[in-house]
Amino acid sequence: MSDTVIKLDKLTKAYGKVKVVNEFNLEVKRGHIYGLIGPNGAGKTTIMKMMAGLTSVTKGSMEFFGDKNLDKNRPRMSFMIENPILDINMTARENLEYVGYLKGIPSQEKYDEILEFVGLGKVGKKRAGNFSLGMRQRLGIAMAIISEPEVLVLDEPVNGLDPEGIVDVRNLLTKLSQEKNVTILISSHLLSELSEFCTDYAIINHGQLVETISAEELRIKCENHITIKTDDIPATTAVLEQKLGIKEYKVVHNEEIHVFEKVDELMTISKTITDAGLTILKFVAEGANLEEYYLSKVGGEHA
Amino acid sequence: MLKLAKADIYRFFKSGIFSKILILLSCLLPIVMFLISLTFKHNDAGLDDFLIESQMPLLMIVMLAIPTIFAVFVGTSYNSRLAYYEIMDGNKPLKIVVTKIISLGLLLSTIVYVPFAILCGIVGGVNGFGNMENPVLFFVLTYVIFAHIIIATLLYSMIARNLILASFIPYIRMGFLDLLVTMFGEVYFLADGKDVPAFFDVFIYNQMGKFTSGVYSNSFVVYTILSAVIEIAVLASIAVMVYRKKKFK
Repeated sequence: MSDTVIKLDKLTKAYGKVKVVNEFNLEVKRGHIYGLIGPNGAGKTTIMKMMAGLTSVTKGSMEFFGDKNLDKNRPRMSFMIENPILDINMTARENLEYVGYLKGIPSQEKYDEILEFVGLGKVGKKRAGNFSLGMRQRLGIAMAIISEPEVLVLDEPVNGLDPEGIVDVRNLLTKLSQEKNVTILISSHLLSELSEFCTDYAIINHGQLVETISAEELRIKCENHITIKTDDIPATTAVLEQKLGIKEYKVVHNEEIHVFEKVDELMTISKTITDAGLTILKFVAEGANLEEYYLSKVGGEHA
Repeated sequence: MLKLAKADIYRFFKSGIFSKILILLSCLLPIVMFLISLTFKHNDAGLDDFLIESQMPLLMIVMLAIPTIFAVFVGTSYNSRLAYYEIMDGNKPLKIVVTKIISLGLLLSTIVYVPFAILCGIVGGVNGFGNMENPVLFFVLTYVIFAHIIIATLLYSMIARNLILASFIPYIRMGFLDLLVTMFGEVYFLADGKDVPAFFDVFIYNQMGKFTSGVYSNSFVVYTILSAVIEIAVLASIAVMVYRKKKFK
């Protein structure tokens, strides 16, 4: 059995001359939880839509379970892209049963079990149209997992959930991954949340893959960064790039620089900066988190 | 295919569409009966006279009310994106389209056809079929016309994939284009004292006008069946192509 369940090779989606996804590569290993992170408009949803068959691929190829016959393997996967897809005139159970019929799920007891599992066990005959955003989100997840898929593709699954709901979803996904070896590809803006359970991250910006990194690698990389504050930030960045060859840094609020490379070369860095005639106001080795690391990769106005 | 059909039928009955159709039919029936009573004065007339005298109200009801219901049903599944489950589950476009024609198309055609058939059956049973040469052919042809309207509407909705568009296209197609072509044929040819060419029988409006006569020429039967098969085949092909383009919101 192939260890790679999803392989995206130079996946490209263009609308006219605009490429929203540009030669995106990704390999998702069985049992892993991949966090697909990137700013709005980075192409995350488009990638998921291409995987789901909801939008055509301009260029590149995809493989599911080592097979290029995507339609054959899509039944082994479940997708929840953008908002949950529900019939607002049906109850939660009826919505589940509808998906059950589509996927040929015979067990009736399973519907109640899943509803209980996602916290919708007591909604009774209430129609989905009267559900809160969080309840719809839970039902969407229930509809995605009812068929016990081998791969779950979730686009912003915790949108609209209260903190308790977010924790529930996190626990649910972790449980699915650990107990049933379900592979999960998830996108979310809540990076702190992703960092709680993702095993791998794919950072995307302007439709291109910036980096794939495992949680372990990220932990090591984020363990330290050097925060530098000088009297001339632009000149300092020039020194970092030209004299030290440092590329992985981020200017934060135009006041200080977070350096993610050569974090164990404190002496060299500080000496090079002072040798360049700059005055160091702050020079501290600090830890970073996923959010800071992400911002260091994709930039952004808050960086 | 069976799974798709089961899911469609399940949603049809559970999402309230079926009950809405029942309500609509039960509201329309007294109106139809009232309109019929205005024009139909011979209580002992056979089915052929009954149809001729009451054809307009029936035509209006069938033409305008029925397509809208189905357009709404199919259109909502695209607006709510519920139809996307079928695609995300790896079903081929051809399979999806054919399943919709078989399950929803034929099911809905039958649901709508049954009240009409019962009404005609009662009149025919009580007063006889008059000059109608072949009552069985009458029922077959009317079912073909009903199925043609409904399946075409279903496919138009699948092509439009939008509730509002899906609701309007059947009106434009049935109530406007068909009517105009038929009127053109009548004005252009009848005004010159000629018969309207048999070819015009491919248009449903013309078919509905003629099936009430109870006397069917061979060309009428052929054109009625052929027009249904050709339009459904063309629309189904377009629907498959539209699905293959994968431009889902």
